[in-house]
Amino acid sequence: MSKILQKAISTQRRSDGKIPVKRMIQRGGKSFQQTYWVSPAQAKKMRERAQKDVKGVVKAGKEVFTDLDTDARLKKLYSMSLQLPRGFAINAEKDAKKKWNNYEFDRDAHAKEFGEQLSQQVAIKAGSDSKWMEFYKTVRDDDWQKIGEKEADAFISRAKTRNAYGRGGTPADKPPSSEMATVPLTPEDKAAAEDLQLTLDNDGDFHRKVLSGVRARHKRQWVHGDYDQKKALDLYRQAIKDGRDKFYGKNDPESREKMTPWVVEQVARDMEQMARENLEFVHGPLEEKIATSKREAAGRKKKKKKDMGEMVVEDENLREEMESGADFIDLSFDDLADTYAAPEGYEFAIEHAEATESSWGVPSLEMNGTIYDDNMNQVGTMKRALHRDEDGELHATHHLLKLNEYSQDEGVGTRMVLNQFEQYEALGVRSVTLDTAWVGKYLWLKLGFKPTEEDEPKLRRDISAFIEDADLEDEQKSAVYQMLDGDLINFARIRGLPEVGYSDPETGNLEYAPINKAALLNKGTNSWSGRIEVEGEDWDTTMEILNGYLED
Amino acid sequence: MATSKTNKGELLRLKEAKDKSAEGGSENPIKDGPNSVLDAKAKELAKELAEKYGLEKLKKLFPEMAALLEE
Repeated sequence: MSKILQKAISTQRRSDGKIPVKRMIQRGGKSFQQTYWVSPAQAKKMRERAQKDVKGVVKAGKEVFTDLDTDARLKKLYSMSLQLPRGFAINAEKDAKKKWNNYEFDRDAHAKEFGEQLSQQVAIKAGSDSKWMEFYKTVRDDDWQKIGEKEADAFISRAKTRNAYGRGGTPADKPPSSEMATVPLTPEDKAAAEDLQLTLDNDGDFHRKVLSGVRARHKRQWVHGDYDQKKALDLYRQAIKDGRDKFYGKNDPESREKMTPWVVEQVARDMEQMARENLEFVHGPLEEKIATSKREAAGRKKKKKKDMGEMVVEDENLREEMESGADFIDLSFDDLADTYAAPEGYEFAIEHAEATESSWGVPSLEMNGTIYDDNMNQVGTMKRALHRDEDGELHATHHLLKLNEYSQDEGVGTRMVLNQFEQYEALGVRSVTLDTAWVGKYLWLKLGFKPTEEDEPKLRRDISAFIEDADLEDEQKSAVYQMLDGDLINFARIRGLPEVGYSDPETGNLEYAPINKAALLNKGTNSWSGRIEVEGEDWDTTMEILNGYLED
Repeated sequence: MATSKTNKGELLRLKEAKDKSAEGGSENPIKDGPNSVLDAKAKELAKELAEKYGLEKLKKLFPEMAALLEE
């Protein structure tokens, strides 16, 4: 088969008006990429012909493979789907979770939607990767729906067994309104519930508004299970009785008004105790762990670098949010200000901060904002998050740091990242996680960030596919493959490998770099998430490299 | 089917790229310039590979890498 399977037209244009067209050609079972300079009209024709070819190949392939064993095919489809970018699957999970919580989860509708999304994702891959095209040919139309059903069933199983998504379910699981009415409530109980700031949810249980107050005071504590509302009512009744008799006197006209806050306080104490017990049952003695972590952090000498400028929070409300958010993760506002300061001559202005708690009681603080220079020109944006894990240890997540080219040249980013890393050491942060994109796919690996367990195999596959298509001698290729079999960070740090062409991750233009760098930068190589522990030899090397960029 | 999906796929890809830039993804804030620590690391790795393949073979396969050892 010698067919044009894929091509991409970049925006690059020569002085004679011609543009480059990259074509993936299959010959003798091997793939070759060729670049031609053609007129835009020719390029358009080539694109149309390529699309027609793709259509023909898929149709022919489906006829050939109709006898394949269904389960084997689905199994392969499922395993291949795990290699796709996670975005659509994450969104599908979020959407399913939302519906589940509202008793609106429809298995078949979810299956259909997931199947359609999956087929689109596979089509994208097939359009630029001959291996995926070979695979795509084997998939039948109803396979997408079947795999969607598998996903929907897996979701239901997850939601039920983990019980992480609350009490929801499918419309069939929704309690009938008649059941809600079976909760035995007298008018007095209802009045008492109102006084206690208790309301009914759609299961007929008491929803505890008072809980938010308890949780605000005891930040990361989360009550698993249901509070015994009957106990609260009994307490309330008893308190009214006791209060009238003992505390406020029979003739005190305000006794009832005074009583409610008193009862709320009793309920709050009771719930606080329960929260502590639950928390220790789930996570062990968290308070103690946080105290140890903080003691260890206090033992380190904290140094704010002299050449660092400010983190600015102009809005009063936002500052309050930051202060309570810092408190939420057992840090101070000054800790954050020192950590996320911009270099001298610049400032990092916080625009949004949000403290949240996961369903497992893990507190986190997320903040983002804009970096300005002395003249208030916007030079970049930054988004960071800190959270404490179930052991009370701090972890940082670097979601985004994007700077204009001039600021990169000035070392603004390097100084900011270095300062953050030094502050993390002082605060006792245990790890830094980041999402890579564009040039970062190469740089963060070289700096020592290890791809996550989930992303590493995908990254290795992407690099491997790039090497396979590269224009190198067989012996050279084989040696590069061997290097890839070793540590990925070392693979990125190797120098002196032959240069090959790659598609620039931002512009898509053809560029040249040593094959290890080119494979990582290449537009076709997926972004990955990485992590580094804030201690040990690897961390020390990363800090040395960062310092090296400033010194050399 | 494939044609329409490929076109739709391209749109999705563009949308994903847009979403990615809107939501985050740590771009490169660090200028990848000269770095003596990485120079030393590269030399170490070249040395390891020279031991593995033999210097002569390394010279043949990757002359630029072999040259690092002579610097």
